[in-house]
Amino acid sequence: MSLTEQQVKALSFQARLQLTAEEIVSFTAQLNKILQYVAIIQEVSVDDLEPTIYGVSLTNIWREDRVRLSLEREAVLANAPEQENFCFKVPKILEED
Amino acid sequence: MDVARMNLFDLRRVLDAGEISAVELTSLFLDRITQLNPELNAFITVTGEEALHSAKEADTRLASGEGITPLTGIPIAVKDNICTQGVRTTCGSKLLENYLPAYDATVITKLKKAGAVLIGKTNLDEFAMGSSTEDSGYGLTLNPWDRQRVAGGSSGGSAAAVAAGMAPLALGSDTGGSIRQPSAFCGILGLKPTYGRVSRLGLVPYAPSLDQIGSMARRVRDLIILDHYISTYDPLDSTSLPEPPPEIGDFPRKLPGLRIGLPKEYFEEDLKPQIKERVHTVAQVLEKEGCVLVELSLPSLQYAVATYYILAWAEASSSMARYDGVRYGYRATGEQDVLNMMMETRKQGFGAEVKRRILMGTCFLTEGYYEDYYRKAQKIRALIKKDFEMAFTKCDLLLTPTTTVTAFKIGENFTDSLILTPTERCTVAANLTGIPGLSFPCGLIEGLPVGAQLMAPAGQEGILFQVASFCESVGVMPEKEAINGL
Repeated sequence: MSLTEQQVKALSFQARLQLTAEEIVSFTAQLNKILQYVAIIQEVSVDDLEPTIYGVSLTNIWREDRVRLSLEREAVLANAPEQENFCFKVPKILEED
Repeated sequence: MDVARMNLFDLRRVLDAGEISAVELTSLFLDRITQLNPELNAFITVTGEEALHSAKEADTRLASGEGITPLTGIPIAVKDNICTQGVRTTCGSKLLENYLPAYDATVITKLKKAGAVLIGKTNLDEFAMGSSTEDSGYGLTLNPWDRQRVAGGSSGGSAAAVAAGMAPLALGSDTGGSIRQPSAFCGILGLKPTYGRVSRLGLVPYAPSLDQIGSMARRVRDLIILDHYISTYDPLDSTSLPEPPPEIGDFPRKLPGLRIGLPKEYFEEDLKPQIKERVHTVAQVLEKEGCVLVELSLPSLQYAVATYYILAWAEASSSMARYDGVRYGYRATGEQDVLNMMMETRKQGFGAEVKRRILMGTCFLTEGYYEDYYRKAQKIRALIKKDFEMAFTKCDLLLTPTTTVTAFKIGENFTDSLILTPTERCTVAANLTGIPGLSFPCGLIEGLPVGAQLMAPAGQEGILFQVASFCESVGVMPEKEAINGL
């Protein structure tokens, strides 16, 4: 499978990553090279195996439903590029009707 | 006092005997950093003030005789993707140039509790994505053995710092080999622990199912001690293993009869012949001591790098999603709406390698690719795990080279950096399977260090320590160190 520049542009939008026209061209070439390399996995048959997510197996880690202090609000907001009323402030989200 | 050349045992001795104070010791290391760092660029941030403050506290402990651990008063360098409260943590990215974490990573909390002195944050490939520390937003790190060559990556800063005696110990992180490879390139010891043994709370994620924080040092005993103090069950990390780590020294003592597996797939044509020779020499030394050498095969290894690329980069595309300019880090200005703000922020803030991996990873998770790539890679991961489990029924540990080449020249790997010589070939399997991997220096080739790698079943770091200790005691590790030339 090979990616077109159009598809790479779509991926970049999904990844919220603005790309220049040159980057779309160069990344398309590079991504296709990587796809070519990883295509080696098509050789092996693994249908009978369950997917493994972690190297070591832990399942269903629970904790007690107990309230504990997380982080102080000031500390969390300290790195905010913009804040107002204890909220992170961002540019407009919704279109005005 | 030549502190740069002293190992942990000697530093501990002079501190406990009162021959030097922790403040004086830290100052000496800070001087050395001032002298060497401008050229080597191992450190992004040197935490001089904080270090002297911690050293003063350590001196109080030493004077009172209470709360002294092997790490009290000992300077440690920390890779800059590990959160340190109030101390800039950049992850090697311009996106986080002024980011001050609101909390300490669990490993930092533990080190502070032990009385260690955090001396600085070391350079890395941006967000730990890279194998040379050339991809940092803060310049590249030079190899102390040869300034024309890379220190390796992504924990290149930590490796160079320890190799050059700017700190006796360092923390790195390893997702596909990022502790072991730079350790090999810089002639020091590096350990990627069993997945889950060291808390990932505060480790800025690259690929969460593969990432681990680990220890780096110039002596086996030093590595063991640092590893002990950072290994812990952490209830705040749901991938943290509940078993406590072995006590220092609590590992099997008998070498004879130990079965050492040599998987043939690690010794193929792309392996530099002199490296092959060195690793085989190590095998012979062990055989002479009574170990049994076992030839074996791990056929699924040929898919390991591809599997790693798919899984790691898919996870990375998710891990990197948080850098959107909303809550912290760089935010692009001048955009009218939040969508464009995010897109511009990420465009301006990320380096090319990170962008590439985000795009590729996003692709692997897209409909039409998900089943054939991501899902399949997860199954191959299970297959590789099975192969290793089978291998460990025939042997107690594996001996392989850590890398197929010695430290390459700066810029050399970039002509086609992506694929043609994946430097992670020898290291990724340990991350995929979660087993521990230790790299130790086993020789010099044309003046450059070579690393041999030991891997053991999950939780069996003790066997790695035991064999590495033995190798150290019989002179397998070269006398000459980078420090000798500095």
